Amino acid sequence: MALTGMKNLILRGVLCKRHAALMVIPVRGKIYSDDYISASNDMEDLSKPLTENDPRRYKKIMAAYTEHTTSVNFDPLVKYFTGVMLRKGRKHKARDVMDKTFENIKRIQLEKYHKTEGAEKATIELNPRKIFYDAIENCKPVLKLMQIVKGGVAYQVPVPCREKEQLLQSIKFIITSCKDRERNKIPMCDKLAYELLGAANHEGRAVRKKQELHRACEANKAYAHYRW
Amino acid sequence: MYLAVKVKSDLFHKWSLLDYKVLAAQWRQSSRLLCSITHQPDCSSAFSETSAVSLPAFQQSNHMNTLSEQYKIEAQREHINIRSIFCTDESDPTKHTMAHEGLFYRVPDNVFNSHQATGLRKDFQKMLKAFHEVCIMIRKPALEVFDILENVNFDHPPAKIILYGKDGCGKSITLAHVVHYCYQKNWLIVDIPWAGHWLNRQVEIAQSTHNQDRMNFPFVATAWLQLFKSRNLQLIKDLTTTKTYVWSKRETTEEGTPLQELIDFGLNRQRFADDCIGALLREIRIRASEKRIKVLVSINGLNAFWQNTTQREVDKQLIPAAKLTIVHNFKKMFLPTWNNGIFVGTVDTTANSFSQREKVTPLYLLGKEGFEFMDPFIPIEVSNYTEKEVHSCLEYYIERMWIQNPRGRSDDGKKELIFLSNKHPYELTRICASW
Repeated sequence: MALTGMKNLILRGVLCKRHAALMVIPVRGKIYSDDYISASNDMEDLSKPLTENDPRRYKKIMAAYTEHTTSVNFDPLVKYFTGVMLRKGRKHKARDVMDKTFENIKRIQLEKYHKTEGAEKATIELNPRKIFYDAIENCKPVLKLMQIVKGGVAYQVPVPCREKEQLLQSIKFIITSCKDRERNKIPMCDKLAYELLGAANHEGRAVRKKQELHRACEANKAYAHYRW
Repeated sequence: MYLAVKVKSDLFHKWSLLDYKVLAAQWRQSSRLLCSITHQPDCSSAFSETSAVSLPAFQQSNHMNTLSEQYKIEAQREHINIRSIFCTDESDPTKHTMAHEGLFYRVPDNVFNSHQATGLRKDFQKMLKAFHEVCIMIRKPALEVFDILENVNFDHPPAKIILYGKDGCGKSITLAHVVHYCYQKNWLIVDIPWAGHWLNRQVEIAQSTHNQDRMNFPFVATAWLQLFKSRNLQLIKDLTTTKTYVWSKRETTEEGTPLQELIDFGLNRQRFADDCIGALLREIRIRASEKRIKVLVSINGLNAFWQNTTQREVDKQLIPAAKLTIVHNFKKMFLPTWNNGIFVGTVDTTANSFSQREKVTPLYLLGKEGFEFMDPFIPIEVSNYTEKEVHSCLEYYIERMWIQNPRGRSDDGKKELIFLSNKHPYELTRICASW
């Protein structure tokens, strides 16, 4: 049972806190040690025979994610993006939005493709997955601002970003910039499509957000040594 | 030089004649879709005849390429358009035969815009925009209807054909194909693009001037008259009325006035538009019986005629569709009082109210009353794609760049798409959309 569901039950008085404490499952914590290697879901990879030195011969393997499939269309980054976009546990909704976004991108690009003539046609990128990857790559910040207290004063200190943080931050930039859009009545899938297309060309709010962050880091360059 | 050219053209001919059915059977047999085209008797004989042309690459090597790849390689080599596998050049539906089954044909834009566009769902129209052309697949139900249209005796009262099937299987598109056929044969087309649309709209209602019990939908009626006029103006040019119609004390339509003027009267005087449709249909029935015109009556979502509208009467009861003047007038087209016409229509779950959408059969959707009214009719089922159709559809999507995922274009991807959609046409488009 999800933690939110548990909270509701407690609030309604169905469960007391003592019961709940026993039933809570550590969702976020990683329960596997380093001896384990992650499960693969790539059919091509799985169909190959194991080599002699393959770690799968002697190491333990983690359980596969419930969300991962062996579908030809499966993409781990898309799955991650969907997870970040998810609200209130409505994963089917988030997945639906993602699919529609790709459809919209394809529609927009195909329209552009049919309008243009001559050699320019070949330059238009039609694959929505490629546009999606480009957009995320273009929104990745190199630095971030960290609040560090020195001598009773809080400083915004620029700190280099780890790769995983970069990815999450870039996804967050894209999603929040969709929410900022003034016209709220536009469906999320449309806004996201425009945002991704813009970001793939170094345009749009998400890229501007990244640039603002970099500018702020540049301005606070003087505090960089407070990191230590 | 001449010999080489001749040999090449012979080869081209053989390739274009390759029976797609045999290929589909090969596709079916092999689980991984790995089969060599060299097994084709036609094809191999074609190569043996032409010693001047070297063997294609896939025949020389032992690598078992996939069928679609082989096609592409060969098409490039021989400069054959890959489109010929899943598309015919025959854009005249009157010439479509069973040989064309499962292939797409290009609909001319003017025909589509004038005759077909209004009845099709928005999703389909969006797809057409993305494909940048209008192509309809030639399917068995449509060919069955054509067969009936060719062999039916037009001296008898109009035959009734009802298309039925699951939602999203292509009933409306089959109907559009039939409409194109009749347009090509120069028949008068009396059609309702989507009957359910009449009932679900909140528009002005008025009491009929002709009969106090019936209700008028003036806006709906004028819209339909406009549609009819735009489609059939050329065909009704010479036709005149056979009777004097008295609308009110001052307004009458004399005997012998052209039908075009009758329509214009309905458009100008909205109050009488509904009754004007009745008069127009009556004239059409009479003229058809005189063998001056052939008539196709096509109604998409026929079962709406036996449903309730969303409008309420003074006593807050929902108005049944049977009480509407337009519906009453159109029902007369099914009566055996005339000949030289035919009816082709669909029954659809979405034309019914939400509580009555469990089954797709005509008996359930029309209800007892409707079924008895329509009886006897010829039911034709529009079902999921066959193996051949689904492959042809996927090839078409790939050619139109609708499937962008490179792995989705491979045989594994196709297999997965077929499995996920279960060959359901609408599901297939939805699943392909994000690929």
